[in-house]
Amino acid sequence: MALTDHCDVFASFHEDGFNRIVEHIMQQRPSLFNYATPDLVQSPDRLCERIVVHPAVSQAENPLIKQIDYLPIIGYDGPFGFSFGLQLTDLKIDFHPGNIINLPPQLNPPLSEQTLALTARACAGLSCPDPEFIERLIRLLPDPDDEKDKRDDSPKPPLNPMPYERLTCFCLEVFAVVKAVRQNGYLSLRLQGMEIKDILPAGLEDSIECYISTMLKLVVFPKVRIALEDLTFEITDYLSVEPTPISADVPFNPDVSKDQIAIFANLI
Amino acid sequence: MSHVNLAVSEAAFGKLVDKLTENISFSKTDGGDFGPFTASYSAGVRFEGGDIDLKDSPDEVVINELDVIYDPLSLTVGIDIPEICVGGFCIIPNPFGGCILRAPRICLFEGDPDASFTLDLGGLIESEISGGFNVVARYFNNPDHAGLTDHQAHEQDKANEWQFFLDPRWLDLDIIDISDTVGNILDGIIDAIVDDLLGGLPGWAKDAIRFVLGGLADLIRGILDIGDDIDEWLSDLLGVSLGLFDFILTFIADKLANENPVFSFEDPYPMLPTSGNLIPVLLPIRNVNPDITNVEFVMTADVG
Repeated sequence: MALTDHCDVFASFHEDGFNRIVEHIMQQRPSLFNYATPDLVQSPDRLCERIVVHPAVSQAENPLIKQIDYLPIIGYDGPFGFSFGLQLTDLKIDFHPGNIINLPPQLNPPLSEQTLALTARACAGLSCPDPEFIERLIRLLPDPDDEKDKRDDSPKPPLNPMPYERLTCFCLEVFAVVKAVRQNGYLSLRLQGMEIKDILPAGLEDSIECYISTMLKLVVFPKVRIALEDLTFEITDYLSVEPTPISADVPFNPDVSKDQIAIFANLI
Repeated sequence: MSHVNLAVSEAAFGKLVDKLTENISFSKTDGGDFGPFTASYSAGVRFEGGDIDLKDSPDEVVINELDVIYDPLSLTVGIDIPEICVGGFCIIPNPFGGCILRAPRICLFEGDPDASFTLDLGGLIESEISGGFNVVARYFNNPDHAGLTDHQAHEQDKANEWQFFLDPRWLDLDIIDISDTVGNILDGIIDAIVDDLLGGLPGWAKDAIRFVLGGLADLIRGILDIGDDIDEWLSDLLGVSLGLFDFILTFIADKLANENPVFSFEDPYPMLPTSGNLIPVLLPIRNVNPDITNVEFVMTADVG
């Protein structure tokens, strides 16, 4: 059977190749996968995981890390906050049928048709401040009686990190089941389910899963969508094509099966 | 297993080849001296149409009946007629010797050429090219890339490329038709030349020339070596003597094999474009292999 029996242009990427693409994206767009407070942006070597980047990132003075605010100390109104970093590493994809990633039982393995499994390590690090510094800070706290007449009660974002020796790090293994969809000329990912291994209690696990899944949906997936025409190696510079409509012959477009993702297009 | 498969149907590959050939054209002027006559042409040549047939074992893209459009094509011919002198004979001889009155001596065809004409052949010759080609992938090391990083080269449109060329295995040009009107036009031109050459001469001189040379029109045809078959003469003159058809074949073979890829893409390949100040995501593409089956063109490659 020919690859173009039911279309004019066919492009497919095997999961091994797609994982190479993911590696290149992580190395050339590190700020999509690394988030940290300003002090860690200045000293990325203090983060939990070393960031491997393509030399062009530094040459172009692209950020390695997306800067986030210092983590506030709830109820404390002073200028200090926690340093914090969150990193996604070791991102891997496994197209149906699953044979690279062992999905946890909560995601109902085996991988269902037309889906792909995704795994990554989510590593977070929090600065635990030097106790002496906390003691000094306590001495500088305003007298609660002086606070009575304070009019402005709105919280202010902390502006400075508390001194610390090193981040306290932990890494979680994240698993997800994702659907590849075609949307407005782009290949995008839609999260179907997510699971983080070995966290108790369940409420903590659910909360972290909720946070990371929201981050994937709102931040990472929208920014790594790939234009369908870019999957066809610029053949569309030469030919006018449109996606092949769904039919009995082409039931899925894109088609995630046989360890690859494939797209079909017809001449206009 | 290869990381990437890109397949293009025979119909889509035909469109690629159409776009390719439609963008190939040239203009050329050339000529030669063939003793009793000179000939030169001025040609503009482009290509249209044609059908594609893909073949497996061995891999071959066959282009059938690619129309060669001559626009314009003018053929200029200069004719050197052997010099001939008539008259000068004695009308009234002198009985004591010599001649009292001589007829005027008229020498003709002293120039070189004595006459020339231009045939406008644009649209009057139909020819087609057919050929069999292998598809070869070549890596184009862009000389302008030197000293730049891949990302800089991409931004400055100086990236290296993978290019796919049609490398000819065989190539033919067939003259399909030379319009009948060419013969009529040529006849008219030769008649006009005869009138022009002999127009000012007295009747006796014309008779004398006809006596010496036979018909001048036949003489011109003889000088040009025009036999009964105008098509063959024109085809030989343009194709063999002036080498136009060989030039067309050599030209298109070189363009297809070395200069105009049927398809190309940057390496490293831009998978994600520049976003704000963020660099594009470039993928090195390795182990690129083209393959042709009876129904499609397939490229396999790996992401490096």
